[in-house]
Formats: sequence, structure tokens, C-alpha cells
Amino acid sequence: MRFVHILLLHFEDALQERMRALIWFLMSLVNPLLLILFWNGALGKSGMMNGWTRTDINTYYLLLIVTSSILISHVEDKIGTMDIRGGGLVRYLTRPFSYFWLCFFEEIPYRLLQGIFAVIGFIILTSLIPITHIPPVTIWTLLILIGALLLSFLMQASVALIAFWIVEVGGIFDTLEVVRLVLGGTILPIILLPNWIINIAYLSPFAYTAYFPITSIQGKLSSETQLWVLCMQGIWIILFICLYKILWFFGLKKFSGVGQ
Amino acid sequence: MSLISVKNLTKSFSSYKKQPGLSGSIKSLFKREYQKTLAVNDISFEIKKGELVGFIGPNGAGKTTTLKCLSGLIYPTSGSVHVADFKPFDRKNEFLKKISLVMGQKNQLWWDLPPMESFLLNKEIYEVEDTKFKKIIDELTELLDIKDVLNIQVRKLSLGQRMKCELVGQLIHSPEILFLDEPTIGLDVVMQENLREFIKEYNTKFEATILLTSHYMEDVKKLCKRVIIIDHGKIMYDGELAPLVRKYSKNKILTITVNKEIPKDELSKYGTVKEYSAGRAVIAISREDTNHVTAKILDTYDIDEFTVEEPSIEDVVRKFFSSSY
Repeated sequence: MRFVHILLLHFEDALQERMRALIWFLMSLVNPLLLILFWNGALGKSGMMNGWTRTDINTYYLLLIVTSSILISHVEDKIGTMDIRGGGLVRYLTRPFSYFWLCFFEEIPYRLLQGIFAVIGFIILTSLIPITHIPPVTIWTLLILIGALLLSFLMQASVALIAFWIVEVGGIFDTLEVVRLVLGGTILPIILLPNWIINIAYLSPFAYTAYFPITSIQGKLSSETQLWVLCMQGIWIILFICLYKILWFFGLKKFSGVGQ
Repeated sequence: MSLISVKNLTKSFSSYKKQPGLSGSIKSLFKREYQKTLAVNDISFEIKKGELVGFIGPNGAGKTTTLKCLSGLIYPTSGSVHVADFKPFDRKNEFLKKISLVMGQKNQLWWDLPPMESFLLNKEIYEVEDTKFKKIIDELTELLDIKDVLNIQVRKLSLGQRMKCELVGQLIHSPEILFLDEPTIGLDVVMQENLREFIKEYNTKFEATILLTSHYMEDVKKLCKRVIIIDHGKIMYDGELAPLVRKYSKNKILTITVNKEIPKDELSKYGTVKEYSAGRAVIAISREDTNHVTAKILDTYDIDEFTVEEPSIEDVVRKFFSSSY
């Protein structure tokens, strides 16, 4: 119950800052809508590429708006820049509660709020842009979505801890974001990329935070592939938990509380 | 038995030293020179349960760094720190529930929500029972006179109200040990006085151990029997405030208001006249001669009002530092 209370209190704060969620959602609209326009032009009359139809691509990018709003965490700036470099960590460290979980509870309400905006946007946009039929969400897809949320949060939180050692972490975050855009399937469904990039993407954690969750919702993944995706998410989650713990343990000794 | 024990604590920070100008910037691309700064240099002290100790010194003396080491925020370079039998940096939950660090003007409350929501969050975080929470909130809000603002957005509160709410937020778990870093900074004189009274009462009522840093000497004068003076990371003095005042201030300050004007030259016979205006004079008189001089002045002149005070702590500390170097 304690965790639920803490989460609900953070919801109150997120609802007060609802405009922040709305602005982030609006920003997440730009990229997929531009890509829909681009691909609709690029596919020309044939309307097909690597087995993906025009409406498949439309569906993919519109689902990307929803999934990136709900699943893709943006906690790196808060942890790295505001808390570690700016000294905001001070107010968490003197409390008898895990910093990781408090950040998670701060993040979840924004994901859900942004998700609500995204679902409304999705409903409006699908009345204007033709999409393929989306099958009912299965338990496997739901697990993949939960895995993607955890993985995205853990990955961003772990990378953000580099701020204990490096002052200008913004550049690292930006680079990571570019890699995520390509290998996560945000620019293009991974299957449409050259084979060597596909291989790298499948080995990276990024594909399991956007591309596979979306294709799972689209019903493009077999049960075996879904199981494999869950295993890969599990492996990456374990690796990032270890990385987070190690960086936290050594990083805290570097923390100087500057700015506070 | 000491509640806080610091032995040979040293904390150093390494910082990059850049040579001036563009050439310095270009050189720094290839080779950077780092220098170590000793924020705290081999300090030791002990604080007993229930003590209220003033930790004073100029900017950059190492006060806040010491508080951060004591509250487990930063890792000591060397030496040992024990607070309530815990090593602070282990940041065990049992330890964190015993302490509170209040930093003046650092907002820990949710900005867009009323303070009550932040209090409720702290209640959950510190696992305070409902009845105890209600009792503490009633008690603290009564003491600090902020019952009316509990449901107003924090961003709409005045600085003084916010500071009081910050204090309540930090005291919900009834900490036994309080680290107060400039708690009265930026507040007006009335609000400073209110907070001082509150800190004093909290110390007495809950037998809390308090370590206080402040630039306002009034805070120290009104609250602390014992002071630790720190400068350049070294402890320069650790002891009672009164002997320090006696040692570094040979004078007392006599203020008189007279019904009939006394010539300045005449007053100069008793000490150094610091202020002189029609009907009022402030004279620094020798500490040893206080009784003799005051008696003589009262006998000789038609005095309306008469006070004898210790000099300001600022003066004492200034003299202390100038005698130390």
C-alpha cells in the first residue's frame, strides 16, 4: 500500500503539470507524421516494400506515437543533469527510500498521462490516415510492453549515472538518442533496414523498446518470436540492473552535492 | 556518550585548473591539470545527545561539506564519522529515519501542490503512522503558525511560509538529529526570530541534537551555548560561546539615553564613544570596569534609559579570525 500511496501522490503532481505531458506528446507527433508523409511519397504506386504495405507503415508510425509516449522514458536528463550535476540528488539521498524507485514513481504518471493524449491522438489520426486491422492485444504483447517500459527506464537511468564522472553528459544523451532512433525502429521499421544493421539492432536493447512492441501489437510476430523478444528483454533488463547497481555504488562516492 | 563523533575527517575535491585565455583552452584539450582542494582538513569533534551546536565560519570554510558528510550525502576522503552509531555514508534506512538535513532556500516541497501533499509523501516515505502524523502536523503547524497555508500551492507562499513548511516536511518523522544549514537565510528579522524560537523549542521539547550553520550571528548567539569555528577546513575553536566572547572582546557596550545632554569629551573619560547624538550615546567600556563605570555614570548624570550588552558576535568572530592569522 505504501508504494501505491507514493505513486498516487506523484500522479497528483503530474496532473498539476499536465501541460508538460501534452507538450512532450505533441513533440512525439512530429517525427512519425513526417515519416508517414515521406513513405507515402517514396513508396509511389507500388505501395509495397519488403512485404510491408503503405497501410502497414502508416499503422507502424501511428502506433509508434502511442508506444513512444507510454514506453519511452526520458528520465536521463532529470537524473544526469538535474540531480547528479545540479545537486538535486541531495533531497533524495537523505530519505529512507530507494532513489531508483522514487524516480520510477515520478516517471510513471507522466508516461500514462502522455499515453492518454497519445491514444486520443491515435483515434483522431486513424480516422484520417488508413491503417491495417489491429488484432486484440494478447498477454504476450502486454508482457512485451511492460518489458519495454522497464527496459527503457533502466537503460536511460543507467546511462544517466555516467554524469557522476562526466560533466557534459548532454552530448552522450543526444548520441544515445540518435542511436535509439535508428536501432529502435523510430526512423524506419528495422526490417526495412540493411541486413547488417538489422543484426546489430536485434542484438542491441533499443529494438526491444519500440520496434518489437509495435510489431507485436500489429500482430506481425509469431508466438516463438514473442517469446524470444521477452527473453531478450529479460537479459537486457538484468544487464542494466547490474550496470545501474555498479555505477550507483561507485558513482555515489564521486558525488559532491554541488549546487546544493 | 557522544551521539555524533567525527575523527580526523578529511574531504578533498579534485578540480580542473584551466590556464587563462584561448591558448589555455587549446592546451586543456590535450592535457588537463587537476588540483586537489581540501574542503575539510583533518577535523575532529564530538556532540552529545541534546546539544545545540553552532557551526560557524566564512564562506568556503567547510561547514556545508561537514554537514553533508554527517548526513551521508558525500563520502569522506579519510577519517571516521559516526552518527547515532551509524556510518552515515552507508545510508541505512534506520539512520535516515533518525536524521534530517534542512538547507535554507532549497526547496524540497512539490512546487505546484500544497505543502500538505509533500507532507503526505514524506509520511509514506518515512512510514509514519496515521495518528502520529496527525499529531505531529497539528503540533508543528501550531508552533510555526502555518495552519492556514497547508492547502495553498507552495509556489504561492511567501519565502517565510515556505521555509516553515520545509521545516515541517523535514520533521514529520521526528528526527533525533537535525542538521540545519543556514535555516534563516533570506528571511526577514521577524521570521528569523520565529524560526529561532521554534528551533530552540524543538531542541528542548524533543531533546533533539542540532548542528546549525549560519551566517547570522544572532542565530548562534540566541541558540547555541557551544560553537565550533571552522576556517579553511580546519577547526579553529570548539567550546562555549561565552568564554570566546570574553576572550576576544575586552569591552562591553553601554548605551545611555539622557534627559540632559552630556558633552562627548566627558563621556570619553569612561571609554570609546562609538555613537553620539543629542540625548543618546553608545560607549565601549572596559569589561573589568563595567560595574565601576556604570555606577559612576548613574550617580553623576540624569539618565533616562541604560543598557549594558555584550558586543556583537560578528565583532568577536572578526577579532578571533584576525588574531588567528
